[in-house]
Amino acid sequence: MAGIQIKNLVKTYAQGKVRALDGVSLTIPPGQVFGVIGPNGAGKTTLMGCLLGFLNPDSGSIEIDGLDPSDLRARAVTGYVPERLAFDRWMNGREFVTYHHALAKLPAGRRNEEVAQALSRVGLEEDAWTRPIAKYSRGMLQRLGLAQALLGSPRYLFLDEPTSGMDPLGVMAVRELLSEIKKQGSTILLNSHQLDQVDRICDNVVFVKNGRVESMETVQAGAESQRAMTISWRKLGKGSAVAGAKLKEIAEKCGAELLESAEGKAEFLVKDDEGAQKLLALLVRAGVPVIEASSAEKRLERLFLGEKRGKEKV
Amino acid sequence: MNLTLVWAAFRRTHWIRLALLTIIFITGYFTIAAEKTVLAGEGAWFVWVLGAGIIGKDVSEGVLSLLFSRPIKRAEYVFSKWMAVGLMASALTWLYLAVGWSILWHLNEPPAWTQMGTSLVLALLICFGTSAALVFLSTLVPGIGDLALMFLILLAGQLLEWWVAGQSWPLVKWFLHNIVVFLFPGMGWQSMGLGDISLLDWIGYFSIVTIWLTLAVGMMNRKEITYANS
Repeated sequence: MAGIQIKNLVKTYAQGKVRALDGVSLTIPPGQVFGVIGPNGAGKTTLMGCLLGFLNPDSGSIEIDGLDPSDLRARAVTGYVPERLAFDRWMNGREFVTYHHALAKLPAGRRNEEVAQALSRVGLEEDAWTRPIAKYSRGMLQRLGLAQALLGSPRYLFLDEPTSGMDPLGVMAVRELLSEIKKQGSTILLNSHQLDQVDRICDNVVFVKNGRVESMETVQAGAESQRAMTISWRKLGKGSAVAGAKLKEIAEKCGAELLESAEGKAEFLVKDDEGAQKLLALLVRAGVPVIEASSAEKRLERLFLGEKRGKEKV
Repeated sequence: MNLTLVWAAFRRTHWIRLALLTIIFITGYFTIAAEKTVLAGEGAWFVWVLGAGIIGKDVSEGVLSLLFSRPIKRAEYVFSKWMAVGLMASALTWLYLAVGWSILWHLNEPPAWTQMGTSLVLALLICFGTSAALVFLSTLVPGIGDLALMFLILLAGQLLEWWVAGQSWPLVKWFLHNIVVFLFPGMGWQSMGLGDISLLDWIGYFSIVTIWLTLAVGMMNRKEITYANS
């Protein structure tokens, strides 16, 4: 089967004392954007290192398009952006991408054209192309890293924190770029701490902790505009408490969804700002003495914090 | 061999190295003028000045991860680095020899044509032999630690040689005596004619170079590339 298959991957450091990956099994179908989130030291970068053939797992297996990650044929269809942007700083931006075009063994005849295309695609301004990399800002380095990764339109793209240090415009540009790449059928593995970013881009998200896949969530298409909000109200006396059924009915009227309710508090999933306003208005009209309305933690934030409500156990 | 990697290694040469090379050139010419001879052995110095950290600097600067995400074999990387240092040092040694011979001509001490031909060949052998040792040491330590490692080996060898002088350990003595032969293959031939080099010497030379390169490829293949485990 094409795509990425990871079976029972174990990777230890310090003669087995540190278990960075502890039996990770994942299937990443082709054409998906797959997010990996987790706290520092969870094993995300180690997983990426194994996928790229940089690290030798103690046991388990990885297949990329049915090939071992160290197979040069697998590397030929892979693009990678490392978290630490350690580039050859004595080159300028254009030279660096040209260098990687040659290392990727792509056709020399189209080199200049494809290098310019990649640099433009990531939004690196033309006057920066001939500037030494040593003078690049973090955001510019991120763009340069993406440019070299996109060379040859790789079938698999491994991105380790690709937007950290980027300005909001840059982040938006990368998001659009990744959507575009996804439409072309590439499979993207994204390691990121920016949960909002992961939530907006990814089809599937796995939460890794202590070297294990704790949970996996499928992100629904178009879910990016949805958000959870918590509404609190003044506690009413016995017998006059707001019933869950009533809250559900109100939510349905304005296209929202009741996630959970407790005495004096409920959490809803609303479509957008307008949906949130309608919900509030309906609650007030129904006699609910609302005292506070706030954005609740988003799904991935909850996942990150260890709440596994409604999540598929892996 | 990967020409892109060889070319990148050429271009990376820092101005400090070029300054050091200029010093070697200048001091070398004082020796030439005084001793009326030009030796190909200077090539070993050029190897160490040009090539120190040829792999170690890639490790310490963290560029290997991006490099090996490309379809490049680690053996290809090692051979390219060896070739780059060997070629650069050989070219410089030839330049050094050419300028040195011009000085000798100017001093009315022209070298024999056969001697010049031999020196050109020996320069190649010394540069590529020493480069093989350097490339292996460079896989062991980050940055330009290979240079320190070479001096340490030479120093330790010298100290041990003094220490075992009174002992009857022939194997240890042979090994210590040959440290320079291992670190600078072909160096001992610089005052010899090509005809004076025996078949056994040639086999020894190519064996040493092969051993260094095989060890270097082995080390690179074992190396795990990431910052996650550091």
